[in-house]
Amino acid sequence: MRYVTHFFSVALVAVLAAFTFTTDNPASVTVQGNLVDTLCYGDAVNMDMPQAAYNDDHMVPGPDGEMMEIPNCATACANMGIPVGVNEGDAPGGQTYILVTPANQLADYMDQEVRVEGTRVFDGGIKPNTIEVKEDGEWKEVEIQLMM
Amino acid sequence: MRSPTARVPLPTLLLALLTVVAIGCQREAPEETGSPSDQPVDYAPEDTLVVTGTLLDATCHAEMETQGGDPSTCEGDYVIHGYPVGLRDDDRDTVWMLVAVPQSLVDYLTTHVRVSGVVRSRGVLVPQQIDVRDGDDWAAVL
Repeated sequence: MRYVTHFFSVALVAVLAAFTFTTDNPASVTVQGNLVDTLCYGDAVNMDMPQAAYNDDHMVPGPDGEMMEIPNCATACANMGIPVGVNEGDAPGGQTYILVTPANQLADYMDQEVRVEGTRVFDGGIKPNTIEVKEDGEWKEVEIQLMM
Repeated sequence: MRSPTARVPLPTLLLALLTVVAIGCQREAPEETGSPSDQPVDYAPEDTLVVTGTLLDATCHAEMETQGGDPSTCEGDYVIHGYPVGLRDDDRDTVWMLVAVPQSLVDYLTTHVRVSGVVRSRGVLVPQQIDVRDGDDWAAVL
């Protein structure tokens, strides 16, 4: 009986130790949403027109006050280095996370559905470990060169 | 008659106790500075704020703070390569991620600034103007 009790005690310690070392990092996240240009999209949200800059082509107020289309605006902004973000969910208005990576590396994927797995950086950023885009119904990993 | 606990070897009991204490400490420990906070905030998306604070290389600072390094050694290498700039808020226990072209702010890293901007989401600020100190006044740099 003494050995049985001893065995269960050791087993309890092993389970508790395993639990300790496998507790999830609270800062690890996986976010799915649309890749957006955070500057234009932010402005559009502030004008209560989030849809105007949710896609690659943006609608902006022209000189005469009429809305005009800027084709491939999100791609151009990312190429200029304006931070790229993920608008969580499948519609405008979700939480926006800044992707902590050079924006120009994601320029070719703007306005695509993405799945980002990474680590939260402060409150508003995600340092990505993997970024996947959905192509033909399949997730395909984007190759990005990170300094980290 | 001996109690059941008396049959457990003392070293095993001590080890179990230490493990439980370690778990408790881990769960109660505050998150690293570079990690997100779940604390309530005093702003909402679309709010216009004026924030004073210090511009920093967000990526480097997050790494240093979570790994126990010295953030003062961050020299802006990430920002030069296009990684986002952060703003450590003087009044809130947070670092904002700024929606701005990172390289345009390289010269102002570690500088105390005043940023007028609009909140995009929790922790994300779109600057409309950034001022730096010029004597007793503020001078706009963005």
